[in-house]
Amino acid sequence: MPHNYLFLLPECILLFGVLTLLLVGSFAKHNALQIVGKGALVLLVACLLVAIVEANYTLVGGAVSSFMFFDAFSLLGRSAVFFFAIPALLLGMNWLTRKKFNRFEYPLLFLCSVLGMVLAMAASNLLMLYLSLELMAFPLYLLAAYKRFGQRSTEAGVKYFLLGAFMSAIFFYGIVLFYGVVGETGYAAIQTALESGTHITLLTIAALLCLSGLFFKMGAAPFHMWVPDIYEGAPTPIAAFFATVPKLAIVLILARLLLWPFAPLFLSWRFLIGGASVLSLVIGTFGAVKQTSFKRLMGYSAVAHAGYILLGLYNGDAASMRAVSAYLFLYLPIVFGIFALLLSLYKERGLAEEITSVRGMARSHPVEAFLTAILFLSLAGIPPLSGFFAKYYVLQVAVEAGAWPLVLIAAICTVISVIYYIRPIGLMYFEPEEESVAHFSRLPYAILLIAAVFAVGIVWIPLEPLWTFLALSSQVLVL
Amino acid sequence: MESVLLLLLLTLPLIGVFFMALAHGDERLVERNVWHIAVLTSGMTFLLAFALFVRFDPAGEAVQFTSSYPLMPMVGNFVLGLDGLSLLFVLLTSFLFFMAVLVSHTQIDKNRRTYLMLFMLIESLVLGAFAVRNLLFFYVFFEGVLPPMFLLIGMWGSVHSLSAAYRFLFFTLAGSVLFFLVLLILLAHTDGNNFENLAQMHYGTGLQRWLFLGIFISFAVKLPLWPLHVWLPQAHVEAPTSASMVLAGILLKLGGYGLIRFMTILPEGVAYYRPIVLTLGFISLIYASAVALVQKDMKRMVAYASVAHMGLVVVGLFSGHEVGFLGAILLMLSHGLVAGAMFFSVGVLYDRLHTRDIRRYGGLFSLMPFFAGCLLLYVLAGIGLPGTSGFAGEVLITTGALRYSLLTGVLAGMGALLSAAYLLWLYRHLAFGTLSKESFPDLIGRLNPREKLIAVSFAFAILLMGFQPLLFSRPLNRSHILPADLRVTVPVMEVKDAS
Repeated sequence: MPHNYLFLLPECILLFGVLTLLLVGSFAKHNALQIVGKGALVLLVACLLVAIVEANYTLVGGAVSSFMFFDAFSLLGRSAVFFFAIPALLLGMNWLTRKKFNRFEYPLLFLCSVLGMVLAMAASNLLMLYLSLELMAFPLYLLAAYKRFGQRSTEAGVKYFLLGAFMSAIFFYGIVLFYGVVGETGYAAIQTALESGTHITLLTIAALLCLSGLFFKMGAAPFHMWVPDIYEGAPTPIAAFFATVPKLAIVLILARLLLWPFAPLFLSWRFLIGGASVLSLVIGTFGAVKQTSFKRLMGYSAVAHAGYILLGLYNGDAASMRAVSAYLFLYLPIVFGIFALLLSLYKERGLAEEITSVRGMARSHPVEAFLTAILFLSLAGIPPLSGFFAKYYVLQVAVEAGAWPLVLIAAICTVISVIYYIRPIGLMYFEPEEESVAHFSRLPYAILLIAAVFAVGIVWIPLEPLWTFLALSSQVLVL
Repeated sequence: MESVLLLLLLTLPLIGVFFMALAHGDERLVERNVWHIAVLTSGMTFLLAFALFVRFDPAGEAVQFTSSYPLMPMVGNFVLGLDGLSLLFVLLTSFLFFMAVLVSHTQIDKNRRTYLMLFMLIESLVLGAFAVRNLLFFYVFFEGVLPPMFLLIGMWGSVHSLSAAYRFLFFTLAGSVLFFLVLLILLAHTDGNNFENLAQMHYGTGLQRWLFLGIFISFAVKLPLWPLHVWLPQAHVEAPTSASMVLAGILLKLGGYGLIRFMTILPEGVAYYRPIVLTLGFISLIYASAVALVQKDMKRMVAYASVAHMGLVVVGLFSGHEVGFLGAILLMLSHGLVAGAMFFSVGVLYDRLHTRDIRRYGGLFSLMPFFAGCLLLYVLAGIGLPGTSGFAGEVLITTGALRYSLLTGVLAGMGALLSAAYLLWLYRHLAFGTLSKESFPDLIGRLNPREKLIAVSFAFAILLMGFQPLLFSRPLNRSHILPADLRVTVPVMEVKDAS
């Protein structure tokens, strides 16, 4: 069915655009970064528009070929990835321009990673998924080491690469086991094989290996060790990218895997998800309490939030998907806002990373301090901000699933998390007059403002398109 | 009937915040302007609340001025409405906030704009807490008040304000966690989450008991009740005057209000834990009164007095009789007024001598006769003299407790009397006796017109409630706030109109 290939239009645009920009960048003289960066932005916007238009079409059958499947879920997931990639790219470009870092590889690596993510969304075959995830991961390893003359960045890149390669091998071993038992790596075939119940132990182990690989990429315990180190070592706008878009993509891919091929293993993977959730929550929350560096704090916070998201997946039905989508949609802008703040704190050479660097910001930058306070409170889950409602959705779904011990732990972790989220607010407002090191240029300020407005307004202003998106994203269950 | 009045009530303070944000120019000009905006905003809010009070029909439907706004799908509708109970608290809230804004003219010297903006935000949140009909949104506003309050105590408080602020935040948050859990479990068992829906569900006995335990601990932190009261003295003492007025007058009542709502939802739990709760209430009452007696800091004494009164309120709520229940509500209203007035008085004195030590004062009756007279009225209201607002509440609670058992009645009566001990002692030391320092008359001036206005307003409110308590209990007639198992011995709630 030739017309189905139109669904690959954004990916094609992206691919050919990347190759073109590579050529252009190689031959441009001084302003290579500017040209390539603006070109990358144009590409992303174009892909987003095409993806949104395509998301309105339902496809008969849905399969493009034997290894890609476009249904409402993957189409919308793709749009979401493009949408959230735009501010990440903007932040990175803004930073590189200010630092006069004239290498043009950043936007290209960025786009390659995004391409990998959207291909993985639509995958209906484990091998396709593996290849796409590798395409996503390799640019991330390079991006982590982007500041290649800096010791920390190189260390972060190497760490990420080694751990990532190892976990990819484990993921691949799971695929190999599936192939060995089932003879195919397509999702439908795997689902049938799991339903039939033959060699179920081996298949369960294979599923476990695959899920472990995904937990690693998500930053969920017990595979979370890389998160604080890489967030701290990577350049800040790249850490912002790590904290948002790949997480969104991996969570959606995880949901797809759990609810389509691995659906017959519900009782087994439910136990796994619950365990990973509790571990992530506890390790993330308690790890963050003693942190003095903002980026490490965000790293542990990311682990804790991975715990909340996994808790939302506990029940594995449409309501769970709605809760997880809502959580991601409400949580990601806040992370963008906080990284916008981090990009505006300076010391003598470069960015200041200590939490104490926000001292006295309420005197010098009252508006920005207020917006930042809103964002931190929203992360902590304090009503009436959006972060609370995100946690409420997830915990409500979990309680309905009967997992109230997990909910108890999550609620306790929420209270403990207030300790470290309130600390910057206390430093901003209570510390005596001091020369504040904050300096907000236009783009970070804009992102901070939008994120804070989002954190307050999204709940209290009825928005129809958003709720349609969430309702549709619950259609993960195939056929 | 659909009515946008409540939405207007909630957003009026926010409109004030908006205009305060717009003020610019010379610093002194800005400070003056934002104060005027705040006074105007809180005044209008009070007028609106007063209009709602007057227009509320005691013989009409249970919930009036309803309106419903659709929000996110999984959250449900944002339903606003006032029944008799919320009406009373909305009135008290708007009155106290108006008074507190008037008070904040002197106390807040730096960053007045930020202070008043936070203050108006808190007013909006508290009014929201009383006006919503949804348990989820009640929780949202209940907890949403905490961060702004934390900032108020920490930034504008006195010496040890930081530790007071952090302690306040974490104590109350920890309590809120339990509330959140109970909320989640309740909502998992129910379809809608309106108070009416929840009250009509019959949950299992075991479930009710556990849920009630959780929710009781949560409200015991907020009320507060011994032994979870430890955050309160420090928070009240360190907070600036207007924040203390609001904290004692209103935020504590949020705990009482929530407890009343939950008593209709979890009657089995109420019945099961009644003896324990009564015991804790009495311990709170007697312990706090005893501690108040030895205080040398005026504000600390009033703080412990608040704990004691809240203990008595809990006794009234759990006395098992409608009489005690009504008395508890009236006592909460009265205590809101009295605590606000007492903190205002302390603030007046602190403005002049910059000390809260009782021993440094004396002979105020000759220096500030008008103030001393008003203070006398506030003290007597705190004790529960007939003719003041405190009387109706205390006597009804004692009656209710007496109907529960002889012991509880005696304890309640005795506890009410204990407040006379420390309050009269305070008054004697402040108003009577000789002047303790020769330089006194230079430092202590009489009340200025603004302070006179506040003092008279409080006095008027106390006397009004003292002489016309029916005015305040009549709206409660048709409200469905009584737990199912309450024995109605004297039909106090259904008051036939005399005319």
